Amino acid sequence: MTAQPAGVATPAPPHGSDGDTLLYVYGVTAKAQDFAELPRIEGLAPDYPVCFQICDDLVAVVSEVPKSDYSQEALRAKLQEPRWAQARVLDHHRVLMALSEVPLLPFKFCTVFADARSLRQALRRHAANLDTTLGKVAGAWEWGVKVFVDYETLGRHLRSTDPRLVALTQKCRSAGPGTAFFLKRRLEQMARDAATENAGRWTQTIHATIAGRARAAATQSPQPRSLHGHAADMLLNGAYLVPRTAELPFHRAIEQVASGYRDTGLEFEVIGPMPPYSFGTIDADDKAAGTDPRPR
Amino acid sequence: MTADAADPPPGPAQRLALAELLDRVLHKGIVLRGDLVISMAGIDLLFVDIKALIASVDTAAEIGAGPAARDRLGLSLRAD
Repeated sequence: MTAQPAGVATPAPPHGSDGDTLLYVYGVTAKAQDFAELPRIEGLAPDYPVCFQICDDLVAVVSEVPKSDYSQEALRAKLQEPRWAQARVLDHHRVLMALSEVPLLPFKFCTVFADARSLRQALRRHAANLDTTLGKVAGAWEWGVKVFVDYETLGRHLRSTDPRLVALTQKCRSAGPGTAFFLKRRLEQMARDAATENAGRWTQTIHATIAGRARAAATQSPQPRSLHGHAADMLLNGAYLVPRTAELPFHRAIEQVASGYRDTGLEFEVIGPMPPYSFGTIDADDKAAGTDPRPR
Repeated sequence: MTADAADPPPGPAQRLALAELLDRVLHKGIVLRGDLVISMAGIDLLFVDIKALIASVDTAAEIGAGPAARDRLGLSLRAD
């Protein structure tokens, strides 16, 4: 990597510019932070601690990584090793969590630059965009809220609460054996439809209520069971950007919403806090953004 | 930690948190594309199999191990 006497804030990288390393970017933060006070943070690769690259008003959180693992070709192969990949993903998260007191925009996993110069060039091209997005997430963390449904419990709940289903259940009981068979089939179908309909409607209400307590909110497709490993089906996969000062009302709101769905077969899981992974929505192409490609 | 065959598999909450984290770190975050970025430019991380990552035994056992593992993930888990 090329020498960057002016750009490197504390701590200084332990290794010289030997050309065997690349620059891994964890995220960017604003300049007005006191990084000198921070304890050493281990980076993705052994012996290369996290350091900070100042670029005008932005500071990139970076560490050197060996070319032998992080060049495009090498990385493609390394990422096929589940243990290696999992450990590096957790490292990426660990570094960002160590800086959770500062406003931080996480970069996508494995954003790697050749050297500090090309990193600064890219940051300058996107400075306005990064600055705006940084302002949006400042002082807030991300929380994940997932809602699961056990359709069997929900079906039972509806049979005893939905007037149409209650009436049909009673009809079933008083009907003769032949009619009862058909009524029962109808009841089962109606219960299934009602469960699906209610679950969909409730999901929207729940998301809207929780989002009302967050600075920003986003929903993702519910994960399949093979991924989340939960016995119930995922209904809501929500991400919420919550100011640190508003965490208590946020959690109270979730508890309150959850208590309203007791006995319905709905289960709530709250995960966090996390860096605002889902709220840095810049996906920019250098070619599109850089009308002036000259380094400044 | 000791690699013991009797280690319990990660509980549902740990697995959920891990899936959540892997999904976010791999698929979210700021993306700057272009010639300047080396690795991201040519790699679509969608090909990384999250399920395989979750199934990775060592860390999964570690994550299932309690407070120390929770610190490693840096996540609090609350099931309401």
